[in-house]
Amino acid sequence: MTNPGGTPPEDDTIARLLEAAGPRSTAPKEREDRVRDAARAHWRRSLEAAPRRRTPAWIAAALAAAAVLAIVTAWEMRSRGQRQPGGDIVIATLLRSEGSMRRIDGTPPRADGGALRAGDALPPGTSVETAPGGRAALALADGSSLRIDSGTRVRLLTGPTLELEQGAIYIDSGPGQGRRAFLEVRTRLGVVRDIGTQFEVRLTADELWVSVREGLATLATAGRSFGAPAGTRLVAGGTGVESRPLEDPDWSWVLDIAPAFAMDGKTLHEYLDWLARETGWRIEFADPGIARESSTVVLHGSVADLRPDRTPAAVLPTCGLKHRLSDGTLVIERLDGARRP
Amino acid sequence: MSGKRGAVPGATEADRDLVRRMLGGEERAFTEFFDGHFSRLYRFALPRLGRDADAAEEVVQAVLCKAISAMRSWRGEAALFTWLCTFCMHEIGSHYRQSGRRPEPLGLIEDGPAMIVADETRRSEVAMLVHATLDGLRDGYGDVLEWKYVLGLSVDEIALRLGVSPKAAESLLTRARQAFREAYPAGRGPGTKGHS
Repeated sequence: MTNPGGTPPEDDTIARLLEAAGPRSTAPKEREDRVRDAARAHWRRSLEAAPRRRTPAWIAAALAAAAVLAIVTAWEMRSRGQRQPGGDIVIATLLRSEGSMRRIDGTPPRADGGALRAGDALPPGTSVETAPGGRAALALADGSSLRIDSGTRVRLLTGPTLELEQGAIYIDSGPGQGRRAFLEVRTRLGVVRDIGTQFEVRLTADELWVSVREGLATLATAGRSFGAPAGTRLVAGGTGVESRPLEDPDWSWVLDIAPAFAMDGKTLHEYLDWLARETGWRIEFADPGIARESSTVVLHGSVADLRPDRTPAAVLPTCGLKHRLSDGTLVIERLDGARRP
Repeated sequence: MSGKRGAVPGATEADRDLVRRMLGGEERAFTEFFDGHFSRLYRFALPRLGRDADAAEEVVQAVLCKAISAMRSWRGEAALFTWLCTFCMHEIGSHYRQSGRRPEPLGLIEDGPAMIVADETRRSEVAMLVHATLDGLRDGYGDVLEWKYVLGLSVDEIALRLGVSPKAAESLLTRARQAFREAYPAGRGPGTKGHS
């Protein structure tokens, strides 16, 4: 670690000590997920056991009637990261693809031309390419969601780091709390680094666009670093970097290829968190009681074959609720005639 | 190096607020609780269990569940992470009692300045010590130090990450460095020339 900013010698020593130590390790994602699920289930049981809380009768009735959809596809079951046979490291797992997507790195040629299928586990160094009309959704090993638009070529490296050669990718790295590593997207026009965010990186012949939907991202280019908060687009090209407001953004391709939400066993609150993240909608409750109850309502079934913005019509009525969308805000109300707790 | 080494850090208002919201059933509070403590507890447990990943997972899960059950009795005298570590030590002891095995020594460095990391064994020991110190810091100090000095984020990027001004981020880094100097074991502290 150098001392470019003229920091005091003692601080420089801290820098060298931490740099020598390297990043703190994290538990493998599958272990973290298992413990999280167990701890959350235990936490919910402890709340239910507390005398001041109980599940309202109308919710129990709604749960008994909940039979949203019963389609659980094979790729949904494979949605968690996994190790390849033989124990090789997996950097990403293909969750879903539409049209053609294939590996273009030096793997042995196959009769299918390297076509990838849902459930395929990809090692570090894999390069993939989507054909015109092809799209894909992958889960990265760090838990981030990666979506690849048509006509894109990208290489997956550890870190996680992505090298975008052409086309567009969308990344949802989650809110960022508790994460150790920051995802990087390297392009010939600059390096984009996420800071807990949802963003798209699009590389054209002569421009790099960084469109930030939520959170923050930074773009490093020509020795300078630029911040991009939500609702902005950084455009880097031959004349430098410009920041523009993200007017009327079109995220429809991102929704079209969104991985399914594994709804069975999740709470209404968790479903609404996912819905808000996927659609960008703000969620409002017409009745504060609904917000309180959302943490105790457990959902069953599957919405795997629905686009995220079309799931409320399938899910909410089973909970005695309905919705209306107004200027980017999803307002949730009780169904007419639904009983209050 | 100050004389604060070994002092048990007290709970912050953030810890108390988190526990209140957990007990109130707020889903987001559970996520904050888990994300803020799982990795630190796993790193705490793993070397103390002979790097047995299955055992570490089992122990950390037991720690979190037992702590959740006992959360109403947490009085905020110690930081939440410190409180969780006491559960962890108890669970690790139970693990060894049940398995009939004896714990292996942790093998932390015993002398010499930490900056002399001439061989891999010593380097890994220093790394473990540094990581344990970072994990023990409160108020997210460990994270900002790691972002700055390990991941290489600029002050501006840290400010963006935290939603604060660059000046506030620089101030936070100053406090974080001070906390690290105080917490890092005596005699191996940054800037020291040798064993004290």
